[in-house]
Parts: sequence; C-alpha cells; structure tokens
Amino acid sequence: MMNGARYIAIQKKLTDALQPTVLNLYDDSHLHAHHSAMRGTGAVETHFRLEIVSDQFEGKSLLQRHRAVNSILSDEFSQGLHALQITKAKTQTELDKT
Amino acid sequence: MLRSTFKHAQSIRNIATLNAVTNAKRCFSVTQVPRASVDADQSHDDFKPKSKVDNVTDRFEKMKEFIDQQVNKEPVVLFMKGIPSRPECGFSRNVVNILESYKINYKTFDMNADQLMKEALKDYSDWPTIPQLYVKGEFQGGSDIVSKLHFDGKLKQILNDAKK
Repeated sequence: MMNGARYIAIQKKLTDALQPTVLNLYDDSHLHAHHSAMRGTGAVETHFRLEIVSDQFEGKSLLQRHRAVNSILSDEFSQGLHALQITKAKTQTELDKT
Repeated sequence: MLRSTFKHAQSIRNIATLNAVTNAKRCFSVTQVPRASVDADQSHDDFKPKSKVDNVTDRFEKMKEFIDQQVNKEPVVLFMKGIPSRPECGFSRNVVNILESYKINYKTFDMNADQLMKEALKDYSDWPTIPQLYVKGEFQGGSDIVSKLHFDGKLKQILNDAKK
C-alpha cells in the first residue's frame, strides 16, 4: 500500500525530533471512514497508530511521552489528523528488558 | 491551572471557521458567528462589526474556566464523544468500559454536542484528541494511557484515591 503525504510527514517529523530506534506507523483511517465524525467528509489519513522507541523518552512519564509526540505533530492535528493511537512509547532500554 | 498557550489562536480560528466544517460533522450546537459586513470600513462606528472575535475569545475563555471548575469539583470527569450508554467513538467507548468496570460514579460531557467546549478542552488540556479523563482535577490521558493505567493496576489506585 502506498503511503500518503501525511504518513510521510508524520514519519519524518518524529524521526527528526526523536531519533527513534523503532518507528512503526500504521494508517488505520480505513477502519474509521464510517464513524460519525468522518462520515461523508471524504477525509483520508485521519487515523494513525504508532509504536515508537526513543531514548529521548528517558525519565519521562507515559503522559509526557504522549505529549512530546502530540506536540511534534501539532500541525498535523490542526490540519485534519483526527486520532493517533500510541500503543508503544518506550526507551530502547525498556524495550530490551521486556 | 488555566493556561494560555500558543494553540489558543489556532483554536479560535477553528471556532471561527466552524461553519465550514460542521455540516460534515455531528456537531450542531454551535451558535453561528455573524459574518463581518463587506463594507465595514464605510459604516458608522455604531454599526461596525466589532465584537465577533472578542465574543468568541470571551466564550472560549469562559468555557475553559467552566472546564476548570468541573474537573476540580467532580472527582472523575470524562470528556467523550456521545454518552456512556451510546458512545460515538471507539476510543470513548473503551474508556467508558474501563470506568464502568470499577463501578464508580463519573461525570461525562459530550464533545460531539458542544464544539466550543471541545476546542476549549483541547486548549485547556493541551491535548489534541477526545476522550480525555480527569481525576481530581488532574489530567490522566486519553484512551491509550487510560488503558495502560488500567492494565497496570494503577488506575484502580488513582480512582480509589479520588474517593477520599
């Protein structure tokens, strides 16, 4: 599947800002195309899911890690990104332990 | 804990341009903002459209104050899409299901029914998405974080502390 412009933008912004050792980004927009806020808008690239591993998360709470990601992507949120699930936000050390 | 962030201006713009997007969404409770007159410069002072932005800003700030009061008054507040018996988003449903499993009382606000409140909330929390859970005035997070807190057993503690 071709990655869209927002997918690429999110990937680049997160890579530049957090130098992640793992960055798995999934475009789940098709799963939400019929939910109420999206219906009939024809909007694409609205829902993403992210797993990210970065040492810049060191010493930060989960909430702070989510805030950091949200802040890097604030332009995307104000321009139509509707939801970003962050299913993993760890440091490399935390990942190695599990 | 009222904050004025750089996102404020963006939020105001979001509200001011709501008319363009609300038709496509399930948000019908927004008062229509009157359009500025085309020849505003030539009209008498009394008739100049003077308060459009002020009004929106004012309502926006008042709404943030209201949110601040609510989250500090009520032990557990969930800002969601829809209502607990009929969530209008899977992430909201997820948080409702988790809260229901603790058999606690919690207050909810439907962000699909109030676009101004939704934008004010995003600014107040500095958090771009719904749902948002507050416990004793403290922002906990959205669906992902609440899920994690739940499965890690931390949410139980947080909710127990809120009863005290």
